[in-house]
Amino acid sequence: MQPIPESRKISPFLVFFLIHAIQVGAGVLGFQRIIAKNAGYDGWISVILAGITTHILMMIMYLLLDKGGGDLVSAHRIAFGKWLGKAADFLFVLYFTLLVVTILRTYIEVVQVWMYPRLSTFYFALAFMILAYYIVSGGVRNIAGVAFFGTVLPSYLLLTFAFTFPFSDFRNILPVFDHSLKDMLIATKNMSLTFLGYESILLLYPFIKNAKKSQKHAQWGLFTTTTVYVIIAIISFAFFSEKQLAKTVWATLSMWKIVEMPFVERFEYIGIANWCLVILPNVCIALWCASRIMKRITPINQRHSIWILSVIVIGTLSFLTNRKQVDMLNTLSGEIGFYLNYVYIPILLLVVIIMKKVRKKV
Amino acid sequence: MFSFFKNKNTDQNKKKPSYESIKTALEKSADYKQAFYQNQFTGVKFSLHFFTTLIDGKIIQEDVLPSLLSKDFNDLEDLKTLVPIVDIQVSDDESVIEQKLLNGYTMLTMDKSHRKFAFIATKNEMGRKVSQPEVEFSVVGPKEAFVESLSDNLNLLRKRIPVKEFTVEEVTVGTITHTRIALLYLDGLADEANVNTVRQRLKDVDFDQVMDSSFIEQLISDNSLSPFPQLLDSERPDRVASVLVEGKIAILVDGSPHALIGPTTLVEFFNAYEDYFLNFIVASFFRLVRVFAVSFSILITPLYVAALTYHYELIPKDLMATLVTSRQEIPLPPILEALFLELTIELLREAGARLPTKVGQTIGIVGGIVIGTASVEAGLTSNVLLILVALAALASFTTPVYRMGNTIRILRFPFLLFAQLWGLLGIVFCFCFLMGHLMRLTSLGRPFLEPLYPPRLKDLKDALIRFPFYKQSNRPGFLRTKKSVRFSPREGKKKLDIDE
Amino acid sequence: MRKRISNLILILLLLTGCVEREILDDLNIETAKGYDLVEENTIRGTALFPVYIKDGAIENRTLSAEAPSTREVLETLSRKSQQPLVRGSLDVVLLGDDMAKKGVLDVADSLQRDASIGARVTLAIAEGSAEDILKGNYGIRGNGTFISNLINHNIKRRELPETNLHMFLFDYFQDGKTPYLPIIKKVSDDTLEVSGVALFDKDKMVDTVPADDLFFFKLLVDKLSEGSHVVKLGKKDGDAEEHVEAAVTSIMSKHKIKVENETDPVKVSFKIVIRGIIKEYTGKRLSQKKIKEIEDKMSKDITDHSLKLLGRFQEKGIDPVGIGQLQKHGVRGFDIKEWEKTLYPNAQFEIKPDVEILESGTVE
Repeated sequence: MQPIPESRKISPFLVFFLIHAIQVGAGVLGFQRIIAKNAGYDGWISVILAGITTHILMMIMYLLLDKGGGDLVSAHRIAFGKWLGKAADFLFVLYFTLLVVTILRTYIEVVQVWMYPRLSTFYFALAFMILAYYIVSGGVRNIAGVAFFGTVLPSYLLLTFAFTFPFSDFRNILPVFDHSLKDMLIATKNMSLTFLGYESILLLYPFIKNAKKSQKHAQWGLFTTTTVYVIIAIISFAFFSEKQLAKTVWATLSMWKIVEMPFVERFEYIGIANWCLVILPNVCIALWCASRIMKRITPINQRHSIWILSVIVIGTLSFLTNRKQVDMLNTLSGEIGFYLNYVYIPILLLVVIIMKKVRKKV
Repeated sequence: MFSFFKNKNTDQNKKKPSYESIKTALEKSADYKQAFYQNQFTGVKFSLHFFTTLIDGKIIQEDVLPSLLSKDFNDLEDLKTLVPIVDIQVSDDESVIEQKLLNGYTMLTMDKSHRKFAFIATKNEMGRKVSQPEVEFSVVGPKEAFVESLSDNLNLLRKRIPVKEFTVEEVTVGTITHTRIALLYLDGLADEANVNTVRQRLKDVDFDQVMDSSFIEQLISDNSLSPFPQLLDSERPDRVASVLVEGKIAILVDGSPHALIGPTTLVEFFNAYEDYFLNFIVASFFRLVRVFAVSFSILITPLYVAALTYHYELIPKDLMATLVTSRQEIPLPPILEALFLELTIELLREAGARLPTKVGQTIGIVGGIVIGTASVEAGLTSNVLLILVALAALASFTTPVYRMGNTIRILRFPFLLFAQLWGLLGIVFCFCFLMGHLMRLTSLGRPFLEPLYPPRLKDLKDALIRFPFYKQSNRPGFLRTKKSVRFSPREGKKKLDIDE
Repeated sequence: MRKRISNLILILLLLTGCVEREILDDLNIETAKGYDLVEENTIRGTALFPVYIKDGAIENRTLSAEAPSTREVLETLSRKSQQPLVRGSLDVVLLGDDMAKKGVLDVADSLQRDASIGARVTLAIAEGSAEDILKGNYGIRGNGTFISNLINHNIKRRELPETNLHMFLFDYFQDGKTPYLPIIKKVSDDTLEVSGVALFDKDKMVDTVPADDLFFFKLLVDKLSEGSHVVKLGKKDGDAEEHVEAAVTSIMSKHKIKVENETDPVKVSFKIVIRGIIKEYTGKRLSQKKIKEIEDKMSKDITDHSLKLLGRFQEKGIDPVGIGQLQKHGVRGFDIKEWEKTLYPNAQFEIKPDVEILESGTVE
């Protein structure tokens, strides 16, 4: 890996925004139903549990980066050698591309259901990928900037949930611990899918100034995400009755329906439009990660690989037309992400440690 | 810098213009004069060469000729003792003749000393007197503005910064106009890298004419494809002096009453210098008003189009009646209606700007009132939109920097198109593009969006709001000045209790 | 080159990427809607939309259609409409009482499913026919606004408990709670009134609370910010006055419900705190003693009426107060079936009113 010039690096505290931004995406709009399916109104505890696991994983990742030579690609190289390592890298290219597809498709579905039923998936995806290209080609600094604005500007949306309070009954979450541990754990696993994306640190790491000290910020990013999710979960549990929530696909959006301001009668349209700002860093970070791995393992110029990936993304998107497929897509990318994060990465760390010891002896 | 001049000289040496060839070229002009004289006592013959239009005849008549004709004038070197003028140079370099003569020097040659020339500064300084600022007018505060003359402008600045660190580097740019450009900074304060960037870029300029500082702005800005100006221009010596002290760099161009300032940030374009003359609370309020005005100006017509074309649900019931009745007889869809009105406003502005002041005012009134009322009555536009467009235009004029105001007015057109395309979603989408663009912009290599991004809390003290002076103990961080501390912040004064 | 391609794409987008437009003045924007049951399997739907006239007046237009289901009604209505009929600004949905007795979930579901409809839509029951109410002419701001203002002001300032589409669905889906909706009645061609509250078992209307009892009903189910009750005092020994009436306006009220589930039968106690002022008084002199008397009488009124109402709820097997819901929050492994079958019908109620009159106006 050629060294990254200092001027292309970002301040460590921006890691906070990068991690937080990629974790918050289309998932926030409808995760409530998924956790309430098993854990009922104890689901918010599962959110906390899932949040705790992300902190542990982040520690593992930083350990991996420390031992594995700076990023995922070099860790793979240490663990599996040149060719097998490249194969493993390619798996991650596919995974990040899949993330882009999932995020974008889910958002387009929301727009189609809530705003414009006849919005063309192809054209919107095309426009969005041009935008993403424009930003990603500005480098990590720009991506961090999008993550920053994508976190700061829409943060006012949290306040709008206060409009639900007159219609909320916070006793709904009582009694606490009314579900079996098994149900809670299933919900925790489902929740952890929504939290995915923070593995992008594995590639962003070399671009951070004082990278070793950035873990603190990354952990704060995770903590903020968990807090936001817990708050939204509790607010929606108070706002909907349990069986009502089970019928509501996008609980967060449905909550906005109650918001009424003197100059705006209905808020969900503004919310969905604003969500574009939240989705953008998601897409940009994932796209950058995929293209960055491509750059590391192939001789292709990073700009070109973004083009290639964008074409693949737009092509795939056009084939996904109905609710069922979108659901499947979400499940698929969630499961893959879950196993990559919770199973593969700890194993990778072990292999890296072992291989390093073996090589030392040799 | 020094090497820069050397380069030019070697260029000219290559061509080797001889005295004779220059002379024949100059003699084609009617205002080129040669006069031959003989000293009464020594009998020395000499001649004066000059452009009558460039020199001050009085100087020659009263200061030069009397001493040369009547006193003991023998040699070119005697000039310095005989003539009461400071700037007299003697040279044997033929290549400077052209440049000197064209800069208002009078050349003196003697038959005796062949191939040696003396140049006497007899320039006739014509130009405006220092007057009031017109573009950046302020009610309180200094009332001086730059003029076209570089030396006058430098004088205005030197008066305000009487320290030896205040450095003025001069370069000549423009292959034909040979415009003098001064690069100003405080040595030991401004970041060397910034100074080098400007120096290098000025050197790299390859253009035949430089008529105004805006030429330089466009030639050396980081991204010339962007509609955003990336160097701040100011006609106020106080503002320029103030940013120099902050550690920024200023560029003055001879013949231009506007100085360029860099590195600058987006936020700075919305700060009027008058903000510093006012109490910090008032100033902060005005700044926020300006930020609001700009967002309003860009977004209001696109929001109108989006809401009326796609999102009738958003509109409050009470407003609905007003909107529907105002639009009932209008055959145009909201987007065409909005474009029509926006273009009308632009027409009025353009017509007003091109015409002489007095006629311009009339156009404004005629256009504003007559066209506005008539088009509403004719059912071409709705009166609601008319109000919005007029307000938006008004709001765009609150931007203190004229150049930025123009950009703001142009920005709303892409927003309008996207609003027509995808409604609110389109507006946010376009905003994302704008955000991405602004993030990529740099001013002399420094981030343009600073202190918003990269976020620097310290620099926010003088951005969207202005903190009191005693809180601003540091220079802006993004300038990377060599001395980042302006003054040591006031020691925690012991607070006195009531009646102590 | 790349620039040119992206410009081309942009132009292409502008030409083809458009989505369906809904230009404000080319729409018939429904503000109210009514459903009536005309025959066993035929629903008559009425859509009300305003037509704005140049001088600012609003003309009410209605369209009606009959069909076997609510969805088909929608289609038939659209066929009759000159401009697209859109539901995004719907304020009020009226249901005829016949329809309400048969079940309203179909309507509620279609409202909830449509993303363009807000959650604050007012659902109300029309005494008589919904179409009849919608065809009247009330106020200058259009019928839709009139009806929704009528109900909202009664909620905010009078004795109507708060309801809207979201709250109806919340109650409907919540275990241990049943929904309720306001009833409105056409008095004359330009007047409407709130005539009570309809009580639902699941989605079927089973009972009503008349307007006179709304004060007590709201005390039980909601917070009462403003609402008045007339206290009548009979003749007492040694009292010169014969028959005295005092109108007490509540300015603040809250209730606290406590369920004691260990006892058998389950004991439910209501603590009702109410602070009021006397607005009207027909007696001669309002002394401290008299005020105390009024407070006591009012407490008695509250206890009597509330117990009567609660008894009726038990009898009908409905729970608009949400006692079951409270029980659910307090108990792990709550069994809703057991609660509905045996515990709730046998529950005993106790009312503990706490009435205090703070002021009695500018004269004594």
